[in-house]
Amino acid sequence: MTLEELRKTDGYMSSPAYKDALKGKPLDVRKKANDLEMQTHLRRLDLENVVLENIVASLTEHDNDLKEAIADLSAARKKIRRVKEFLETLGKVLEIIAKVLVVL
Amino acid sequence: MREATEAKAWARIPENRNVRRWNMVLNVEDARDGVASRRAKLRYFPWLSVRAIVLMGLCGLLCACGAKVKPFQELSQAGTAYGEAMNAFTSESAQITIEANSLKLASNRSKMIQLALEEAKAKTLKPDQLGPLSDKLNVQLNGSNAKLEKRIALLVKLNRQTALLAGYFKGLAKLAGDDVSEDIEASVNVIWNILGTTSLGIKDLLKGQDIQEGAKVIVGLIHAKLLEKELKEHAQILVFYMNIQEAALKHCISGAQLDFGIVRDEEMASMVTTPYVLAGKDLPKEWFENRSQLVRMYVDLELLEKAALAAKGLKQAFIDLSEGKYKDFDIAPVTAEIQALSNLVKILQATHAKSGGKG
Repeated sequence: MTLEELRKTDGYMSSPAYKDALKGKPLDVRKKANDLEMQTHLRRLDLENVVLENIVASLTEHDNDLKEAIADLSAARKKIRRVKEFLETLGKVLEIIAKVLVVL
Repeated sequence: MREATEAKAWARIPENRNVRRWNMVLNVEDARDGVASRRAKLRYFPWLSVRAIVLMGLCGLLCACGAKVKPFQELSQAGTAYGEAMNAFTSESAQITIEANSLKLASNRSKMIQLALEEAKAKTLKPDQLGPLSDKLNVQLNGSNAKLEKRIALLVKLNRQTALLAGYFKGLAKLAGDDVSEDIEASVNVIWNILGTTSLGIKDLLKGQDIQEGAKVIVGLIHAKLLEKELKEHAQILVFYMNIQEAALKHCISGAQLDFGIVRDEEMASMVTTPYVLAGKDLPKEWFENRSQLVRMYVDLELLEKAALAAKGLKQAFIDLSEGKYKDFDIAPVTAEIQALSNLVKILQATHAKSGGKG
């Protein structure tokens, strides 16, 4: 395969065939290929950062809602404890009242 | 005094008429004989055996209720495990991105110098006349540094968001915990006791064992309903968060896969191919070991696919429980996907250890 044909294939830059094909090529062709390889790598980093930036922005936009949800869970737990304590107190009061009524 | 009042009440009721009180039937005649001994004279009708059936039903319901709280505990455990695995993974993916970039820069630098030297030779320039090369390398290095710093900052933010999601599941775990069941049970027991002391002998009627069984059934129901309500209330934001997490995980996995390939290829070139093809030099001693390790350095595609599904599986499990679809709920696949993500982290760590030691 020629260099041009190899360049049309996926992931050609890291393929051994492409690297072999570059050997013995004129200096300007090898320089151009090397520059292209580095540019592609840096461009990939840029694109990945853009995607990641959007993901993080979407999450950050709603993180207060999630914090509220976490607070709700904590509040629900406290509520159960308070109900339990209230009922226990009520039970004790009613027990005392019942004892008083028996005595009467 | 109370017995006398009740005896008067019985007296007002016509003879030969059965009076239903709770699940017993008292004959008025018997009742008139004396309220104090009325319990001994209870006539249990056949339908009273229904009580045993009801009790068995309650036991069955108890099992069902027990099974209802357990999925919430499993979901919260899976959510917490996901948070930990995802954070470990993003940290490792950042590390391998830096390594891949460094290897790429180093390889590019040596190629550029070699090409520049060839050019200088062709144009009969001296190596110290290669000024533009240094500028170009400098631009590449600074550009890469800026991009990587941005990546690290974004991954730190993503980790914070993932930790927040894991915080929700930790909160859910506390709410689905056994201590909550105990609190609810204590409350229900208090209510039973209040009913027992204030009403007409419910405690005597149902006996202690029955009360406990009944209380447990109610505890299970209340606890499961409470958890279901919490999940429903937060379903919208949680599903949104997990959708974005799903996208983030897929994105990071595909990036890590590429970086992993770069690290492997660059190391193969520098540690295996170059020493091998260099004529006039003996192969280094570590060449055999390096080659063996690099050939075996491989990420199973199935593992990658499975790991990428972790957030999706967790989201589906959450939806199933929030919609009360207990039959559809199965945490085992989600656990396997989270485990795949953890395994991927281990592979990346091994790669990092290797390139850190020899690269």
